[in-house]
Amino acid sequence: MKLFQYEMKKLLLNKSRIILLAVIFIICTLMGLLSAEGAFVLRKSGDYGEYLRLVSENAGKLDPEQFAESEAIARATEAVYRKGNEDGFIMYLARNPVQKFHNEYARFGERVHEYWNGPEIQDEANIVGVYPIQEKLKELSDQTDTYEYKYYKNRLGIELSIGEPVFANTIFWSNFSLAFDLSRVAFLLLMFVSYIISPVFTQEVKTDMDSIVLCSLKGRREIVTAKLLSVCATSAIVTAVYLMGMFLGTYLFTGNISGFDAPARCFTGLTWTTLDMTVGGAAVLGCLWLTLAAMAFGLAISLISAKSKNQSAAFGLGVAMILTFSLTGFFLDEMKKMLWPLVDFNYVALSGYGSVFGGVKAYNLFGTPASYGAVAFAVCLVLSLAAALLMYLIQRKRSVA
Amino acid sequence: MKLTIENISKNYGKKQALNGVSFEMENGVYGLLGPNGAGKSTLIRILAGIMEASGGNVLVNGINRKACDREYRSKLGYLPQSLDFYPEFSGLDYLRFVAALKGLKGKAMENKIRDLAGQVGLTEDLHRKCVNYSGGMKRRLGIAQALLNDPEILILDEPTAGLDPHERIKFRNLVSIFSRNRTVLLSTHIVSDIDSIAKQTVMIKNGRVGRMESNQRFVDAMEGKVWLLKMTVDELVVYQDNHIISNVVPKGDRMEVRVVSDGKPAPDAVIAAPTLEDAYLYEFNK
Repeated sequence: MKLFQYEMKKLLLNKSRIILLAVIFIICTLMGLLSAEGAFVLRKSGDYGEYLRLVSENAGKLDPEQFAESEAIARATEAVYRKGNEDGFIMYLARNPVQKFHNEYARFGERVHEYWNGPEIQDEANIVGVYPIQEKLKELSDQTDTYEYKYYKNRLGIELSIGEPVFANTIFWSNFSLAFDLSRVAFLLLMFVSYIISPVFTQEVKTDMDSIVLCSLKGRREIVTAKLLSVCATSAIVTAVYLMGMFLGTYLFTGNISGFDAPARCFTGLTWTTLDMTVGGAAVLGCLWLTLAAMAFGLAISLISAKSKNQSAAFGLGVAMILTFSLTGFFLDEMKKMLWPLVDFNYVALSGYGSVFGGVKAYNLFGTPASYGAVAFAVCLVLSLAAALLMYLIQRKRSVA
Repeated sequence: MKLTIENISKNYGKKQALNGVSFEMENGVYGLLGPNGAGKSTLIRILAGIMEASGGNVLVNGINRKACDREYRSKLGYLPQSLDFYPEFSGLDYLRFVAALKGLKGKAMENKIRDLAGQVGLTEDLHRKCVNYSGGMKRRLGIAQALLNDPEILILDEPTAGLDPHERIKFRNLVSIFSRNRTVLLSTHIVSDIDSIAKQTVMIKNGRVGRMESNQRFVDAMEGKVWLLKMTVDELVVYQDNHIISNVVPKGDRMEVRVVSDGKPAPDAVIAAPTLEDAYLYEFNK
């Protein structure tokens, strides 16, 4: 415990690092404000009250009459104003709350339609929509022992259990969901984690403390345990600061957190999630997931640090890792299919809450369907465990030059 | 505790830093004397268990060190040649951290820290950041950390580097008192560090260990090999290229030169009482 406290002091709980944490918090708050810029414009619009009234009156299951009206208005609005870039149209809607409501309700209606009928263009490898799944199950009725049948049967059960999408005011949560956006997570959160964790072992080399640590009673095993715990705690604290900053920034511009108890599918990015929970629950799970992913990444950085001579090298490799893994998302489909373990389970992909938990992707585990989220969780644990074991091994064999 | 160094060798690529080093140590202060690059620090690191030897063994009471690694580390105190500190740690934080590494805890740890801080004269500075310490203070802090666990084996690599004469004497006294029933290996190229306190001295040169004797025997062996003679500065400039000169003192318009030589170096040379420094120069200029 004492060693853990001192490792925390070296890594995070010192003046310069606390100042850095404050800077990270400010940056993340600004990012949160930027994410909710549209919501801020919406709140300042004269018709904001009308928007709230319309959302409140139409909350719940789809009203076909309202959908027809909203769809007509939305189409007319888009025909006139949806020109140029998408951001311009979004800001136009933010300045015109009533039209924003109709646009949102029209989108909601489309989602309900997709829930039952699936999208116009289906991915044949992974069909979505209640009716198409039922059709598929009929096709597979004579192959009930196959993985495919079990998979779709399971999916149908989940879809029916979650039920049809509902309309709710989740403006805060839609904006806050940007905190889980993969590019922000990779280039803000993971970058911060990489920078803060990278000296965990290299500082011993830099200060020539390596020799004193290595020849002491607890310098081969217990010190690694203390370092591992401090890396996990530091990653968790940095993630918490990131999320709190994003939360505060989003809240300052949206002004409320209503929609907390709406179904998780109202949370932007989780439109097809198989999580049967509320938006609030999904947000909490997202925070926990991001913390776990940051810890796993932090452990990978500390493994690099254990093999590096200085912090710059460890941080540089961390950044290279983030960039390389980010690029795997841009691979061609053929490449993705070929390199799927790397594409789906690299540290950047694992930290994408929306992609891991927001879809219907599943893996065939010995004939049993396992969701992306469940497999990603297991992979995170395995990667963390492997990194930890390697660090113990490196420290046991370590010698000074 | 008996420490046996058995035929230790160490290669860095093609360069052989240590070649068949063997000697034994048991309770008392042992000096490890040798010029820079002789292999002292390499040997010290191997003994401290932070570097692997290319060959040979280190035995602790007859048992291979690797077989009792954890126990050995619990009984070891080590001060490396160069040492820096964590920028965010005060002297007290640093000692507490090393104490935790050595498995000390509670009141015993605090008492030990206060006691050692007093002995090395750092009591008043314990709450200051150690990066702001002077070179001598850093060295004293290093000495204190090495003594935290009351080690049975204390290995000190150039411990007095950066200490002023007063601190040097205090350090020698501290090591001398500490060495009762303990084994201390003190590596240095400053002969006066071990002159009065070392039970025996090991001379190391080009990765090989020479004789291991008591300091007195080294000095006795130099009887009749140390000479004093007087010459001018111009004569000295030429003379020093071919002779081992251990000291030069101005005497009027001439220089009194202390020469280490097997034979009488000049007709007017007068025999002088040898010192360990003379023996050191003789050994390393053979």
